[in-house]
Amino acid sequence: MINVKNIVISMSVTVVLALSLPAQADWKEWFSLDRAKEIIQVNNPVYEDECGSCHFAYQPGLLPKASWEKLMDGKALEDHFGDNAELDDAVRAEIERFLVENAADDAASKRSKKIMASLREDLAPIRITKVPFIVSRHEEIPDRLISGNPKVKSLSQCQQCHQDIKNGVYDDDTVYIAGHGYFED
Amino acid sequence: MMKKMILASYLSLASYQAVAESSLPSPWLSYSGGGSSGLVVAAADVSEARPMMELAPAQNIIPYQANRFTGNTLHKYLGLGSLAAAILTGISPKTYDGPHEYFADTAAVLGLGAVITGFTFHGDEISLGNGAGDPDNLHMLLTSVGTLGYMAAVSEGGEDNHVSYGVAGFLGMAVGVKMVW
Repeated sequence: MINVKNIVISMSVTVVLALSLPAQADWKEWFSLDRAKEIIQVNNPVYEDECGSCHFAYQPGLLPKASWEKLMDGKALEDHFGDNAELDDAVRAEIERFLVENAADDAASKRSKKIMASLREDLAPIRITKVPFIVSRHEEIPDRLISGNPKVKSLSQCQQCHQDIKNGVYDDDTVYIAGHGYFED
Repeated sequence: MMKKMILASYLSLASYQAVAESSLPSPWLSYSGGGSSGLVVAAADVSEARPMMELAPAQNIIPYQANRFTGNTLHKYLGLGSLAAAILTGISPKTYDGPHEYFADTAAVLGLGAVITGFTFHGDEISLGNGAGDPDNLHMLLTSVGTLGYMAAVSEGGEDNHVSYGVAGFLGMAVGVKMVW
């Protein structure tokens, strides 16, 4: 005899699971036990030398491809947030390739997916601090702890508060504001 | 069953209180010398007028600790615990008043605790406007459905349907956890 309840339950589960499929498009992700909650830490010595010598070498998974392409444009680098950051063509191309290949668009990490989900069509901010997801995660922190805090100064100084940033970890539990301590919202 | 659910809710709330009071210092503690709400208002006013460094001398700041036990940690272990209990339910002998029933009750209680602590500690990460592309939305949906499945299975214990509810609950919980793993 057909059990209607079982059919309804099976269909509901199937629909819900089907809805969740696009969130992990790569089928291998479903069977991997590796944690992918945080931004995936990838390394490139050229990027770390050239960019990391002036500022924290932000993980590529923090911005979409379109943003990295804008940032790494030869002309754009002449005025890189007020500084001249021109690079040799070969070096610039190598760094751009690294950033684009590991950008948030196809990244497996939860935070990269949230970054992409928060961006509307054709929105490619060149500042990580302008990504809607990043903005929303910091809006409760008073200015006096960031711009008014001499040990932080700017939201772009991620490493001043995110203590495990070098491993790509941006979890709330690892937030410890320089000159202040733990932040409780 | 209802008593157990109420107990789970109570335990989750009590855990939240304990975590909130013990492991996370108030941002005002470093210079107010206390955590009462009255002092917070006064301290906040002072902070507007004086430089940060003067207000928060280094010796009063609790040093950073990696791997602290926080509300997030509690949420994670409740969820993983409910998954483990559900697996044990499935492989244990199917008898009344035996391990099968015990593990099933445990899975439901831990699952409910995980849902409550999830909304408490991670509620601000849910953005329904982002739809199914946001892993946290799916995590919330699937694990809530999973817990409901557990609860339905426990309440219908002994009936044929309860297996479907239990399996559906486990699937929802497992995929929901994987979404944000």
